This record gives sequence, C-alpha cells and structure tokens, in this order.
Amino acid sequence: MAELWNSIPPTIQVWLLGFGKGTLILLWGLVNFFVALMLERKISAWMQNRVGPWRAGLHGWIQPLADLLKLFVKEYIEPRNVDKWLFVVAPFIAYLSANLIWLIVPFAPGAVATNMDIGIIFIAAITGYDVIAIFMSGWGSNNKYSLLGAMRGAAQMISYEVTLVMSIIGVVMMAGSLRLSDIVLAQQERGLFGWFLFPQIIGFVVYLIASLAELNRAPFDLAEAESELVSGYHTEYSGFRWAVFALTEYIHLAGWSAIAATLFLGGWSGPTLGQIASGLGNIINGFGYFTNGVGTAVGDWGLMMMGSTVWNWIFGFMWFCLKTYLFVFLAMWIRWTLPRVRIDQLMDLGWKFLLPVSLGNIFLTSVLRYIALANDGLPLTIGTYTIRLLGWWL
Amino acid sequence: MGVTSFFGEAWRAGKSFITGLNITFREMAFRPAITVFYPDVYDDVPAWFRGIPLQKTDLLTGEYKCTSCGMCVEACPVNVITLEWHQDPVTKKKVADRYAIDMSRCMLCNYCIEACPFDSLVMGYDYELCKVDPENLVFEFEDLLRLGLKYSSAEQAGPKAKKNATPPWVFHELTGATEEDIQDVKGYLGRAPLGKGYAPELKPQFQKKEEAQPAAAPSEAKAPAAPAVTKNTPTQTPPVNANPANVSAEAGPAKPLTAKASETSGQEATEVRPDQIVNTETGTKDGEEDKKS
Amino acid sequence: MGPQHPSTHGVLRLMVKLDGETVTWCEPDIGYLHRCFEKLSEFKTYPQVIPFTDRTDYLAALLNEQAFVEATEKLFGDAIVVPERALYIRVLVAELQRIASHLMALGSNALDLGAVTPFLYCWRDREKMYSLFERITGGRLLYNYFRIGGLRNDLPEGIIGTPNDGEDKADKTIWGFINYFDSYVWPQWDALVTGNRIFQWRTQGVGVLTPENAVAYSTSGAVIRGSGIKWDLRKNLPYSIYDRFEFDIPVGKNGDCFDRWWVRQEEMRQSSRIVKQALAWLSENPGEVMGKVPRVLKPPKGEVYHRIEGARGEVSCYVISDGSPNPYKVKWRSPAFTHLQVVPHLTPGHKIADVIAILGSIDIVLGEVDR
Repeated sequence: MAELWNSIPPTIQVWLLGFGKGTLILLWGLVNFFVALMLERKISAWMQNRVGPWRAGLHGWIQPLADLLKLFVKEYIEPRNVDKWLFVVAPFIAYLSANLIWLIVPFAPGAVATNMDIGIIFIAAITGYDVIAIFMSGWGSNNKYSLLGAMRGAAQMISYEVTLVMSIIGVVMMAGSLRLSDIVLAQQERGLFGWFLFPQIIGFVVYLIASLAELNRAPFDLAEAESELVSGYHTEYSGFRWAVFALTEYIHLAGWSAIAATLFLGGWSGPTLGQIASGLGNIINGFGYFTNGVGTAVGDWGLMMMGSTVWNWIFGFMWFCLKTYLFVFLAMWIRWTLPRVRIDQLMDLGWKFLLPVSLGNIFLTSVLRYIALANDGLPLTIGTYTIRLLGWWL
Repeated sequence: MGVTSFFGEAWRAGKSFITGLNITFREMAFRPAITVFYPDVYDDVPAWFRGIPLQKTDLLTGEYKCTSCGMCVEACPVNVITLEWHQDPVTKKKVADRYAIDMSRCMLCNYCIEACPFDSLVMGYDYELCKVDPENLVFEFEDLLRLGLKYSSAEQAGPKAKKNATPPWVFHELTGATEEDIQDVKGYLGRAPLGKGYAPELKPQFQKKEEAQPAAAPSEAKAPAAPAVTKNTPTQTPPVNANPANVSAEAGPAKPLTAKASETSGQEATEVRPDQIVNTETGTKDGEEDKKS
Repeated sequence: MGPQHPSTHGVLRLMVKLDGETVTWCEPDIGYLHRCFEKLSEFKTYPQVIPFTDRTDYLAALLNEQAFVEATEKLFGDAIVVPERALYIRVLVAELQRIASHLMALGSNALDLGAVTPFLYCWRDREKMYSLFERITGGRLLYNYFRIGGLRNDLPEGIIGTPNDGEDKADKTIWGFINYFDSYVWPQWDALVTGNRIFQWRTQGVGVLTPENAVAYSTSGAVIRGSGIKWDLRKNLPYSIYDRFEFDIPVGKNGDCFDRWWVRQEEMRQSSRIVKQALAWLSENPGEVMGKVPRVLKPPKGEVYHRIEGARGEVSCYVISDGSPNPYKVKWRSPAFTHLQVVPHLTPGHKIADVIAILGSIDIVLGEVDR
C-alpha cells in the first residue's frame, strides 16, 4: 500500500486526498442532516407532548431517509419568469457554504481536513456565501414575498456576522492562535474545567445568539418561516431543490455547533479510552487489597491503550460528536420555546446589544490577561492573589 | 437608554428565557406524550357519544320499531332523512316504501332520536365511515337496521317509549342481546317484517315502465353500505334513477332541491319543500288535506 | 394576504398596501365562509336553529346557543320556566367554553408570533375539554345541547368529580380539569409566553386602541377591556344567573396587543372561579333540567334583542317572531365582525409582522364573521 501511494506523483496525491476528504465531508454532511433532522422532529415532538414521526420504520427514527428519498424523486416545479441561473444555482451555493465549514473542524487529534493557519477567519469568510445564496434565491424567484424574505434574511445575516466574529476573538486571544486544532489543544492543556466556556461565558452566549441568527433559526427565523404566509426565500422551491435547502439548513446547524464545540467546549478533548481505563483501575484499587489484582490489570491495560492512536481517535471523535450535538440540542430547545422577534428588534439586538457586549468581552479578556501576565512574580497580596487566580483562570 | 436599563433588560430577558426553557425541558423529559396511537389503539367513546343515527330492532320479536310516522323527517334541521310511504288500503296504516338517511349531510345533532316517539332511532358509536363515493353514504333502511343491531335490546318496550330522561340508547351489553342477535343469526333482517309495511320491493305503479328497471334496482340498492364494505355499487344512486315517477322530497346528494313534480305521472305539479313528507300514492304533502279522500 | 391564512382564524383575505416593511393601508375582505345562516333560520323551527348557531363561532359553540336560546325564552316570557339546575349547568358549560375559546385564542396568537409549542399545549388542554364535553353532551366541538326551556340532558354521573381530583382525571371529571387548569396550565402559560421577553417586545406597544376608539368602533369583550374600559355584560347587564357568582373583570391599561392577551389570560382564571362555584352548587342540588314546553314551539308575536358575553365579545341575537313555529327573522350580531373593522384602523404605521400580531390579538373566528 505504501509503495503504491508513494509511486503516485505528489500533485496527484494531493488531488486524490482532496477528493477523498471532500467525499467524506459530503457524506458526513448527509449523516449530520439525518441525525439533526431526526433530533429536531423528535425533540420538538417530546417538548409538545407528542411522539413525532412514528410509522416510518423503527418508531420513526428513519423518517429523514424517507423524506430525502421522497424529495429526490418528486417533481420540481419551476415557475415561469424566474431568473433561471439564479434560481437554479442558489440552493447549491448555500449547500456549498454549509459543507465548507466542515473543512477546518478538527474531528479528532490530528484529523482535520485542512489545518489552516487562519482557521476561524476562513469561516467568517464563508458566511458570505450564505448571504449571496439567500439573496439569489429571493431575487430569482420572481415573487415579492420571497424578495422581502430574502432582503430581511440578508440584512440579518450580515449584521450578525460581525458579532459572531467578535465573540470568537476572546477565545482566540486566550488560545493564542487562530488554528482550530491549536485552540483544542489549548483547552486540553488547561485540564479539567479548562474549556473556554467558563471564562468566556459572555462570548459563548453572544456566539449562541449570533449563530442562531446566522442560521435563520430559533427566534430569528423571519426570513424563512414567517414572511407573510409563505416560506420566505425558499417558497418557490420544490422537490430536489428544496431538499438541498433543507440539507443546507441542518448541515449548517451542525457545522456551527461543531465550531462551538471546538471553540468553547473543548472539541475532541476528553478522557480517552486509555485514560478512562487507568482511572478506573485506580478506583478499583482503592477498594482494598483484594481488588488490587483486577485494578492493576485494568490500569495497566489503560496505560497501554493510551498510546494507541486509533483508540484516541475514536474516543476523540465520540467526544466531539457529543459536544456538537449538545449544542444542536440547545439550538433546538431554544427554537421550540421562544417566539420570533421582529426585524427591527432583531437589528436592534444585533447592533445595539450584542456588538457592544462582544466588544466588552474582548476588552475584559484582554485587560485581565494583561494584568495577570504582568503580575506574575510579584509578592502575594490579596489583590494580586485574586488577579493571579483570575489570570490563571483566564 | 442608560447602562442600568441595558443590563436590566438583558437580565429580564435572560430570566424569562431560562424560565421558558425550563418549562419545555420539563415537558420533554418528565411528561409523557398524549398521543393515542390510532388505529392500533382506540380511545374510549363515552356512553352518550353521538355517532350516526341508526334504527333499532326489537330483539324479542324481530320487528323493527319504525312506524313511518315521519317525525324524524320533520325534526331534522338539514333534511337528510328520506321517507316515502303510502297508505295500506286494508289496515289504513302508513306503509313505508323507502327510508334512508344521507350521512354525508347529517350533522349528528340528535334531533331525530329525540323526535322519534317509538324509540326506534338511536345514535351509534361508529365514526369510521369513510367511503369512496358520496352516494355510498346514503344509508338505506336495511343498513340502518343492520348497524343498529348493536344498540337494540331484548326488552319489552311499548310502542311509545319515553326518552329524553336517560341516554336514549342502551348498549347491548346491558340489554341481554346475545352475539347471535347481533349477528342476526335468526335472520331478522332478511325475512319479511311482520306488519310494519316496509317492503323492499317497489310497488308496481312506481316501477319504471321499461322492464330494465324492475324491483331489482332497489333491492340491489340494499347492498350493504356498512363500513366494512367499500365497494361502490352503481345502484347506490339516489332513487331518482330508480323512481323517475317519484315526487318525494329528499335531500340526497347531487339532487336539486326543486321538486320532481314534472316527473310525476298523474300528479299535480307543485313545489315540494325539501322537508316535507309526501305520500307517494296520493301525492299529498304532509299537512295538506288528502285530496282523494 | 390571501384567504389561506397562516394562522387558524379562518378564511380571511387581508389586502395590505406596503411601503417597504410598513403598512400604509389595510382592508379585510370577508365572505369566504358565508353560509346564509340568518336566511336559513327563517325556514327552520326554533329548535332547529340551535345546531346552526353552534356553527357560527365554532370554537365556543355553547355560548352561541345560549344567546339564541335565551332570546327565544325571553320571547316566551313567563310561559316557559327554565329549572334552576339547568341555569347553573348552562353557566358551567358556558364558562368552560370560554376557557376553551381563550386557550385557542392564546394558542393561535402565540403561533402567529412564532412560538409553536404553546399552540400544542393549547390543543393538549382543549382535547381534555373535548372529552369532558363529549361525556356531557355527546359532541366534541359542536354540541346542540341547549334547548328552549332547559337542556337536552342532565350531567352524566361522575362528571363533576370531587374537589380533590387531580390531573389524571382531567379528561373525566370537571373538578379534575379545573384543578389541573389552575395548578398547571395557567401558570405554564404565564411563565412560558406571557412572561417571555421576546413575546413582550412583539406585543407591547403594538396595535394600541385608545378607549375612545374602542367605544367608537363598538368593540366588546377582551378588545374593549384591553383598552381600559371595564365593560363586561355579565356584570354590567347581567343575564341568566351571573349575578349570583363572584368573579372579577380584568382590565388592561394601554390597549395594546399585550393587554388584550393578558385580559384573556386573566379571564380564563376568572372563568375557572365561576366554574368552581357552579360545581359546588350543582353537586348539592339535583333536579330537573328541562322545563315544561309545548310540543310545537310558537312564541307569541314580538321581537327581542338579547345580548350575552361571548368568548370574543358581545354576541347578540335579534329574533322577531310572528307567532308561527318559524322565526320571522334571526339577526346575529357577532363580535368578530365588529372587531374586524378595527384592523384597518390599527395596522397602518406598523410592520408586516405586527399586522399578524394585531389580527391575532383581535381574535376573530371567520365562522362568526361571515355566518
């Protein structure tokens, strides 16, 4: 295998790797769509005292598969007088932007599709695609409701992009790097409760609100659900093209949740199999002399497994998925609880509240870090001790 | 907007959101779903539920109780009951030619049950009544009797039983009707009724002159419209096809409300209000003097 | 905004002129659900009209029946005496219907504003009430229960329950439902929607109806009470036996959508107070529920205008009798029709999203608007 790989010229290697990663990401997108849509329907149902989909096999848990298959074979109606290029291409651009987010997300230690230096800023750049896609679909639909919905959606997304990036900067300052894998490693080094969620709680809340607004979800879904009586910018889409929009929405949701998990919840860091086993071994040992045999055996096996890359990957991936879906659940929970805000209230919220708060967060973070670093080594008084504690924490 | 109101607003908003989220989380996690998994599970139907009106049979004698008095037709607010009768020359009693209820129009208001002086009509529990064609929802007398067997009783009831004091029907478990009765093993519905006058065959003067439309049409029209059978028989059409000479007022589907007076043979062309009962033999409408006598 | 409306108010068409996002002119176009109820009643006998009155405001059917039945009983004057137990049961079911109708109003209003979950909570509780009404009257949504001179039947055994009944009996006994409502449902609505800050942002200050305009447009019910005028027909012009019950009238302050919402929510609580008092009386006083009435009802010649406090406002019925079994004229005044006039007055200057909020807070039912 290795010789075969080495015999291929490097450019072809890069292309093959690229195709492979791209395919994996697209497939992962589909998997995410499946799980996220299923969770959405079931969670919303449980919150409303219902059971959600029930008959589509296994008590409804493969409903999204049925939906997707149905949408693929459904006839799509294209209204006359639509701007053909815009109308047709828009869903695919949105789909593209949703999948591009997954390029930089670290799934496991060392498993990133492209480990870019600029990391987070890449995502900030990609959100522009979404705005374009929404606007293209709204304008191309030749329908005044779609246009209104698209204009609202575009205004909303542009406003919240700024806030989103601002909320991330606090994390970047604490990690010292834009690269996502570095951010995860920084959190891992801080140990237990080392996640950036705790010191950056303000940033997390701002990120939560801003990402929900970016996703056109939750209390901010004016562009999509309300917009008079039709579904906003994707009114005129049916069949496969609408399926692509739906795919986009859930892949996007999962993507932003993955970013949140990486930035705030520690990404793939978590006890690996080896660590769990060795910890377990210690606990068993503590029960007394008679358990020492079992305890030591488990502990030793754990220590051996700690070096296994494959198991580390598996466990890292598992923790990553758990954290991502925790955030997804949070987004869905919020969606099914809160009513919608109006467009002017949304803009107020974005510009007049969230942006100052996120700037304040950046300011606070930088000040506290500076003081902490500057006071390292000075004699301990209560004041400096507190600051050093904060600094350690920060 | 000062700094305090800025944070105060944020605090209030945050608190209200947390309360709301708490409520939905508790609903999700701690309260079961209230879905009833129909059709695997049927919800209880309370005793006084108003399903479609059906005709009862006296299980002691095998007779049905309806005497074609026509009170139900008058009481019905939406004129869905069709009653055609003639007077038996021997007994001078009303003899019904056709009794049908159009369930597609019936609004289940229960007035016919309350109006019936003979405790013959009953509101059933059936609510699964989907049919493919609306004509199949016209339930003829035999269908009404068949479906009403469940609610019939074997008690000695006089012809003018009182109602309105208690729920106007008795579920068969309480009446002593046996499964045999309900399955009509003794053939109450198949044999000719004793003296009530309901004759499935059309009187000769009302049959079509062409021999293509003999009594076969109405008796085929008695094909069961029970919910179990969904096949649409072409003879389940309003009797305007079977009885072109019919002047009766009815409210069947796809039938104009104006009278068929022009189609009468030897009758006067008069306007018939849809809720009037017409004597098919003499052509008099209810409330008018009998012109022949 | 065409006849297929996003909310469940019915088939209403709103013609709206926009300047960007702001509404400059709005006019409702009705008639999509017109079923000639008033003309039809001229061909029916008095009892036969009752099922048709059900179908005007189908979300609170018994209140409509009450209007017509009490109007006809007034025509008879002293000739018909309605037994007291029947009067108490009428009040009981009317107040339960009011709770059901307000739940629906609140639920659909919340749905219009984007909160889907409260709408389903509304249905969860309305289903329990449907079970209760099914046990009492035989019908779930449309009842045909009131009769001229009383009621069709007495309450079934066991429906009243005991004051200790809990939620498990909420769809079997009325006490169970009321206890469940007071202890769980009402606080849940208060915390989930009314206290929600986003909801308050959407409804406070939106669609302000000044008291002068409220009176000028002949509004009634929650609309006029939301604007600060304490006008409730059950207290100001008592009919039936409402003067025997103890309850308050909630009144709003500003006349905006939030106040109308809040008034409806509080009214539900007051209705449950009335229900509890009625249940206390009914469990101790058995009796007849149908008075003596002639076989064929022919009210003496005359006319009567009877008004009741319906769920949405003042429901009134003007009946002219010419001595025959059929009424000469039945005119039905529905509150939703009157309130719909307020919408073109309130909406200009607001955003599109507010139009829907305002329409929801006015709480119309097209069955009532179009009859």
